[in-house]
Amino acid sequence: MSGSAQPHRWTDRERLGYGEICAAVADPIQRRWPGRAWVIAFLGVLPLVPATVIAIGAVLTVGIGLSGVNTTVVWGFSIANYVWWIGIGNAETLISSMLLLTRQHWRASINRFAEAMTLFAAAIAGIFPIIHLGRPLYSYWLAPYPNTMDLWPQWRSALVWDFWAILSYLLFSLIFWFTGLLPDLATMRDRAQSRLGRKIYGALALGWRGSARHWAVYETFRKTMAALAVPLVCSVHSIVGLDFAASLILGWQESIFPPYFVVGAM
Amino acid sequence: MVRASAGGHAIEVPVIIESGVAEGVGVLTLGYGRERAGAIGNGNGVGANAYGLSMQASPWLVTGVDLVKSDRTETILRTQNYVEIEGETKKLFRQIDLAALASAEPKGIGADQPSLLDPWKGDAEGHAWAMVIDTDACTGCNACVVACQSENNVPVVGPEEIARGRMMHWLRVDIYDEGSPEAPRAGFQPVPCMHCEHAPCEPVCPVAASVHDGEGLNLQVYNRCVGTRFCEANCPYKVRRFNFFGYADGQPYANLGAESVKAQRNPNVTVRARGVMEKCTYCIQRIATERQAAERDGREMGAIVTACQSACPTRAIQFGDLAKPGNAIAELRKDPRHYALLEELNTRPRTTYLANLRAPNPDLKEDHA
Repeated sequence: MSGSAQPHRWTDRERLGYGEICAAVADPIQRRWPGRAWVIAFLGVLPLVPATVIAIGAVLTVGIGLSGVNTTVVWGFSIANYVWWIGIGNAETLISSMLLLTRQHWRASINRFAEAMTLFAAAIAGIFPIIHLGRPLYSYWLAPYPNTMDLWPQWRSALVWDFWAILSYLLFSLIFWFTGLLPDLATMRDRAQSRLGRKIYGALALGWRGSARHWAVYETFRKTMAALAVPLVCSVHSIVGLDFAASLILGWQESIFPPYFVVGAM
Repeated sequence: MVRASAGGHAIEVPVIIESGVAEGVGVLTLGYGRERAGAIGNGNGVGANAYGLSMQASPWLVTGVDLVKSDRTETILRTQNYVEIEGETKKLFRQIDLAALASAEPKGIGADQPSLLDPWKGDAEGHAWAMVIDTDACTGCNACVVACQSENNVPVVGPEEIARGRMMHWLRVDIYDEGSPEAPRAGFQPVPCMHCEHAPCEPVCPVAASVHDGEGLNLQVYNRCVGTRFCEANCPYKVRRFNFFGYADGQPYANLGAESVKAQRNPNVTVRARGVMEKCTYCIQRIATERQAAERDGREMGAIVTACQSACPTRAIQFGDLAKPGNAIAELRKDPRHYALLEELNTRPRTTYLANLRAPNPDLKEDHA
């Protein structure tokens, strides 16, 4: 670090060189101990993983009756969580893509967080509708796969639309996140210490060399994806809203639900 | 819980305040209370035997009863409010005065209302099953509920699950009390599956486990059900029941999974597994049995009696084939008391009702609307 005068850590400081920025981001992964704060935070959340695994395992082995839903309130904790996590993911997709489309260069510091959060939120959201089923092992019946009974899903059901909404959103988030990561993966490849690291990062970087042509294609692709993301966010959460609105139940059958869900997610 | 004592005898019973019971009067139901209840009573009995209070001289009326609050409390489990249908009592539980009967018009199932869906069309065999329930004849005895339970292998879920709002009866008896709490004009309405021609449960099922057949039956395909419970949410009549646990299969209540109990099951009806939806089938196994017998003997299908219908002591439940000329069920649908439940939702139910008939005594002012 070259900074000699540091007025306060929140205010603007002297600009670091590119090499130093690279080192600040990449070294905790490749060259040095990530730091005590990181380890404490990691150990703090680590017990939540077995807790989640045990909770999901209990629901799968004992039955969905554990979740407290009943004949009148048929959807509870799981579906509320599903809507919540889709909302979280949507907000991050919007942050990332809107800022890209409006050419806000300061987005570079937060877009990776936002996109990773979207990806994980969408993955978590995808788990809940499966574990809320009475028979989760047959959840794949919602997919139109070829089978001997010639049975397809029932396309009038909002839950089938939902299946496609989650699937497309998950795939989109994965591609958006991964393609955005390419130049950084190439940096990691170049800085890797071990032969194995070079191989893995090299494979993931898909041959990125950072040429002008690469960057031009990259920019066009990112902007196209961002332009796709905005309507996708609206469609995904609208369909989540339709899970409720496309029913006959008082309090659910509300035409305001799809826009309400989309705005709520933001 | 209170301790009710009279003439040297005492029983301990729970108390609830109900409309329509005069002040200073308590009502006990005879025929309950078991001294030995096996695994269900944890070695003890269940309930209280009201015969313990009745006297030989006046078996139906006991006077001078002392009520003393006991130190025990017990939750009274009533499923009525779990499945309350939204709407006005006047429309849901139609009541007609005898004097107005002559000018009353039968109400249809809303088939004259516009709909985006095609009208129901049967298949070539030409049956259209329907049920008409006379709410005036129903005495609320619950015999139909028990008959349905034993016919259709409906599992007993136990009080804990009932307290969580997870009853399994395919048929329930709703209680209505129109009017003031002092003089409610009460009545009963058995509610099985409506087998709607435009069933709201069907379009919402993502795997097509809830489907309609060519005879107008709304079928639940247990094998196909993945248990999203969307159908249950979308049923305006709240007649669908879900196996939150393996009530009949693997996780039964108390000793109800014993081999001897399993042997009591009706072999013609599937025992439902954990995680699938179930509901009234109009006793489809009885329809199938009669169809097979008719084919074997080379004759027309005869009358089919559902389990609830066969148990009804007042013949309030009638079942038949609408498509068969001269069938009594079609005539009942033209009765001036005829109406359908929530017909404004355009579900076109196959189960319909006859209105409760009132004949108020002109001398009793409270009995008038």
